[in-house]
Amino acid sequence: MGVQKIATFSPSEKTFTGGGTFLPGEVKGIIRINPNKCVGCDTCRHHCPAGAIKGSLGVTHHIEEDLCLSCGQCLVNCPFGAIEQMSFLDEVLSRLKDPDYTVVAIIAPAVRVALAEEFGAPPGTLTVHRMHAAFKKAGFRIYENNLAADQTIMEEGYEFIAKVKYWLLGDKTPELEKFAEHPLPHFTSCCPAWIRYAELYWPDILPHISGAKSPQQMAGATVKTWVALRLWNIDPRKIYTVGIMPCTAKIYEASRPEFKSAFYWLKEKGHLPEDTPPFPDVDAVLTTRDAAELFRCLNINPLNVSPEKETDITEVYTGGATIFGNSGGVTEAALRTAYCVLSGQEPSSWNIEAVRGHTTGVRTAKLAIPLKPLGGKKANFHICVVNGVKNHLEPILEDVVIGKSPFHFIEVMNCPGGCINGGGQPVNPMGTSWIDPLLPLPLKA
Amino acid sequence: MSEKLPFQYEEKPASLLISRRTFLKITGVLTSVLAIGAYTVTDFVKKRNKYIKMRQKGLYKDDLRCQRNNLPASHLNPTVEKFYRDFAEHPLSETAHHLLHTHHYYVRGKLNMKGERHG
Ligand code: SF4
Ligand code: SF4
Ligand code: SF4
Repeated sequence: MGVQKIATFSPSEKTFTGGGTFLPGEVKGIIRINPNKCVGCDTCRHHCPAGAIKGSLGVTHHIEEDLCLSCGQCLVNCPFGAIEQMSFLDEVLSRLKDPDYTVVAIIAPAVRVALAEEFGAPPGTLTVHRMHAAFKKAGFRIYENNLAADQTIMEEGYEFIAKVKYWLLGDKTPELEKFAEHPLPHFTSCCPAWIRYAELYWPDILPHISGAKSPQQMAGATVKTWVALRLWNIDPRKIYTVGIMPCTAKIYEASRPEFKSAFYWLKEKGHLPEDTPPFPDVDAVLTTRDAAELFRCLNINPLNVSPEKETDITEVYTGGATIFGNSGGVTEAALRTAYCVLSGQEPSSWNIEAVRGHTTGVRTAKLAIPLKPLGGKKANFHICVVNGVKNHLEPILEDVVIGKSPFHFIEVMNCPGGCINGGGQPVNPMGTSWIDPLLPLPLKA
Repeated sequence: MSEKLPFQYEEKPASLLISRRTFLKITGVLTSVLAIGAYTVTDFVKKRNKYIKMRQKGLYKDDLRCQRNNLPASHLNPTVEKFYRDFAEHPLSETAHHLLHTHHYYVRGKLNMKGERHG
């Protein structure tokens, strides 16, 4: 066994110029088809959630950048290894060598159950303390993306509770007024491919989407403010944050121009010299595959390092956070906390099987939560988990647009199964790339 | 609601139009498909489900590990508590608003007039 090697390429000047559906500075063209390797088998087109792949059976396919979500689902499903990924590995490696910089790894949940595959272990092998030790050995400090996921639940959970108060319980106090523009159902916001999909194809849905940033972006902004100033005592300008993600769309997310909030906050509070140029919250993103390549470059095998013994304060996370990587996980994590806050008590079990997406396209559930402000009277919440944008999402969005949606809370994950099956994950010949690349006869268009 | 498997392939209609120009290439693709041998699309979907399930199991295992360490849900994370106590005050606070929330979703169709609407 072993995983398929995916070719990468470095960003070029054209990458950041914007244009079309991209704002200046946003990374475009993260995923590309190598015309010399594509045989036109059409598999990718059937996995693309956005209809961004053009070409008919037998002809070399190509991606329409303007329509593409950068999700990488085409890449992990191309049986011929013909799709390539833009990588920022060289930039990260050179920062690691620079003694002036503190390089911080923000490690997503799904990485810990897939990284080991790149080193010969079966899919699902869980590495936490070994993975942390390996990143430290490579020269990183760590801010767990899972810790940021806990922050996300606090912010998004309280936002959802505020919407429930305003829209369902009729609480129109002034501090809730801003939620008048954000009706239910509430959509999750942590998947950048889903956000871009809504921005491109369903702008009517945008007011419904949570304003909470994704964990990656919360992590970046937190590291360059609270962590830098209060915990580590270092100059935020000398921090280089790296998202370690199962996801190619996260590369794009980090480059969105609005995500410079640490810079603007620090500036306003007088922590930066006047002439400091704006810097992003997250400086670079490496996919799980890129991270494995980084370890190979540095001669580190994460399966052989001795696990770290102590958990730093920036590495503490909960079960709710770690299941973010599975379809239904964000919902389950939000419900665990919302239940406690709304009812004032703990649930009898933390495991909410009813919302786990597993390999089902759409999961729906009704949950009764006792409400403390109503003397324990139970309210029914209708929950929907969309597992993969392709095929399932449209009817649900249509209902929302015409005001007929039965749901209060809708989770959308672009990738089937959740981020554990993201476009940046190891490509496993168990399912993807299932034939030897040498076998078929490559065709040239 | 009829649910499709997330990974389900749709059969291409038999009437799929093929130009003469691409015919030869298709022959080439068929050769590749023959080379795949026993692997059918069904196998492919099943196996794909298998590794998805294995990775999902890994994360639920990590969840149970956290639950055993008294860390089941986000509001019980001591670092998060400290973050609010020392710095951001409470969820949806002014600081949280600046650092943890976004105020920008763009209608991207407007940026690109030549883009087509999907679906
Ligand atoms: S070879 Fe890969 S890129 Fe080409 S059509 Fe098939 S799946 Fe798509
Ligand atoms: S990256 Fe995603 S949206 Fe872009 S072409 Fe591939 S599957 Fe489609
Ligand atoms: S589901 Fe996860 S991996 Fe896939 S695009 Fe969304 S955030 Fe990225």
